[in-house]
Amino acid sequence: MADELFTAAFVTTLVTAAIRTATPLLLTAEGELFGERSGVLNMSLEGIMGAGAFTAYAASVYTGSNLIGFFCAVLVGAFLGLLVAFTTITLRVNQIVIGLALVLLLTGLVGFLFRGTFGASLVPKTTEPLQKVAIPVLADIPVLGPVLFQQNILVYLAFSLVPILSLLLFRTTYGLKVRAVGEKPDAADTLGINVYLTRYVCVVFSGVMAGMGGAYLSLEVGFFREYMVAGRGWIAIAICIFGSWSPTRAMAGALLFGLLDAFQIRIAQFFYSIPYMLLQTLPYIVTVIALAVSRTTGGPSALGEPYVRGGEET
Amino acid sequence: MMTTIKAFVKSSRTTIGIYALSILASFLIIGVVIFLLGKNPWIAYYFFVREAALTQFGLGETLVRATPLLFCGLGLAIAFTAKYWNVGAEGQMYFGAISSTWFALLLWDKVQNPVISLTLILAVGFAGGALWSLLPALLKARLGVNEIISTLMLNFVAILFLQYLVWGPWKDPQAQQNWSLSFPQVLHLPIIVPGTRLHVGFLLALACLPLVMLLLKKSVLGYEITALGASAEAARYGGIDISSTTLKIATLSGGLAGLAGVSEIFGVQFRLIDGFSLGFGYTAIMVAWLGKNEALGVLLISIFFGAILNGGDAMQRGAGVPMAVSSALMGLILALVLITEMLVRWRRRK
Repeated sequence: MADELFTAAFVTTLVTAAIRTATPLLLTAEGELFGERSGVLNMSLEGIMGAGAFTAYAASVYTGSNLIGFFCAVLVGAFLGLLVAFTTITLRVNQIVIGLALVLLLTGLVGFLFRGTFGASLVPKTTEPLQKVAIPVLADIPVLGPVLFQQNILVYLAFSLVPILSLLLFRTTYGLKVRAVGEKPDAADTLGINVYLTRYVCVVFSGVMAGMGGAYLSLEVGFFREYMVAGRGWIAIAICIFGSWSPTRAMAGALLFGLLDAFQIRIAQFFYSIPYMLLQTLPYIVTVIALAVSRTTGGPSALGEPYVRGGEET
Repeated sequence: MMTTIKAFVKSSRTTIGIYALSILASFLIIGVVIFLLGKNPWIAYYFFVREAALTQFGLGETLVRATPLLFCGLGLAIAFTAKYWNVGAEGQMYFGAISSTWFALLLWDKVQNPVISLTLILAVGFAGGALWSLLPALLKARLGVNEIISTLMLNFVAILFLQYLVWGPWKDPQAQQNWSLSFPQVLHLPIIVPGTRLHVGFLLALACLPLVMLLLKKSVLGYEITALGASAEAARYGGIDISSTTLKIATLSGGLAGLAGVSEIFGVQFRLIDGFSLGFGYTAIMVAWLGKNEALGVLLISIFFGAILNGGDAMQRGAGVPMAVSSALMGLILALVLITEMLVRWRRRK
């Protein structure tokens, strides 16, 4: 039984699935990376992903187009990102509490809207799941080809953004501005960098990416379920932390989770004596272990603190 | 003296005003959403008000739902005062339910005196919740692990663990559903108002109220907790052992959540069952915050949110509005209060 685990077929399907499973985490983490690098903790990712998943599904059902569904989710994500930005940057509400409040509000709202509009029908409406798109020459490479280059569009988007965002963050002036704003906003301000605007842009970006991450969840399978997000928003935040706020490390983290999740599903077939619920705890437990083990040095110094020009007034 | 009283009254009036406005606005907005979903908001709210407050059974139900919110809310008030972001009340409650069930399965009806057996069960439940909370607290104290993520992840683990237990080892062999054996009468928390489901758990939660108040306001630990929340650096400078205080906070916070679990299992469900919680642990976060981490505030908000949960249920049965409306309402109220409070402070500075 166990030797079936080590066949090439098993490993390739596992890795293919891992890449797919990692994608929503990666998309969301990429956005949150920028947000946190600029100093703002967006705690509502779990809620924004849920909103994105529902919006993509609903828009796709009503218009028949996954593309429109996707863009609607992006718009919703942007709007929610703007909301988070306004409350945390301009109003300076406690970032953690507003994040939690939004998660609860959004999860409730999404559940409410989903059951209200779709829940009544016995047969769940489904949309066309995302198709795999094979990249012409690369997909023919013997082992790696099908694994890496026969995925759906959003997978390519997520992974191709990693080097782009990495370059942006570490090699461009803009990236430097973002990092400066997150480390020492008052110094950045005296240099003429608009702290507020930079943060706004980064937080809206985190909202957009979380919306995309959520959209992926529903579009990948073609339907929506309440609690579909299942903690991925939080795991994305964790990935940022133990990925040291770097896109490449975040990708590694996301892949680790993707691997675990894919593994846990498949291994149930072999070790069916281990109850599947216990296996499902793996990603969550590993997140905690990863956090415990990664001795991160704290991240952007100004993370979580609202910026007030002229110093904090009590 | 007069200026302080005036200031207090003014600030209370402001707070009450903000809350009232936010609550009204939330009900209005949700009413509009209900209408857009094709249901009649007037009928919906009629059922809401009637069930939540106007019938004896309904009031009982409101308080039944308020009980776990009160337990968890008090625990979270302690944690949040110290800015220890324990988001794991849900998991701690589940673990309290699990540990107390484990003990109940051992004890069963060997002890005929319900006072003794229930007290023991409550103690075990408290310990279970406290334990589940200590794990992330230790990780924070020793390794600096962000408690938001760790407590949250453990929520999922606790829920999955319970699902495993009621599906496997503890499943009632004669039942189709995944739940444990039904507990013997001697292990039931007695009902205090006949004709309702209101049980002793509510009184126990009320009893915790003065204890928590005393703890936070009058004890040394309470002082340390408040100091830690005001400024960790200053607290350390003042000689407070942050690690040790964090662990104590986690124990109390988790323990109270564990009691919420016992209260639900032994007062409402009378067996271990998945889904016994309507997200009480998460809702309690909102309760603690809106109650401003004050014991009395937590009490008021717990009852109010208990009413919303109950009313939401009634809206579903009477008007076909999905029960998730409760969650949306509560989240909206919190969001609006937060925003309005900051807007008021913002305008005051200009």
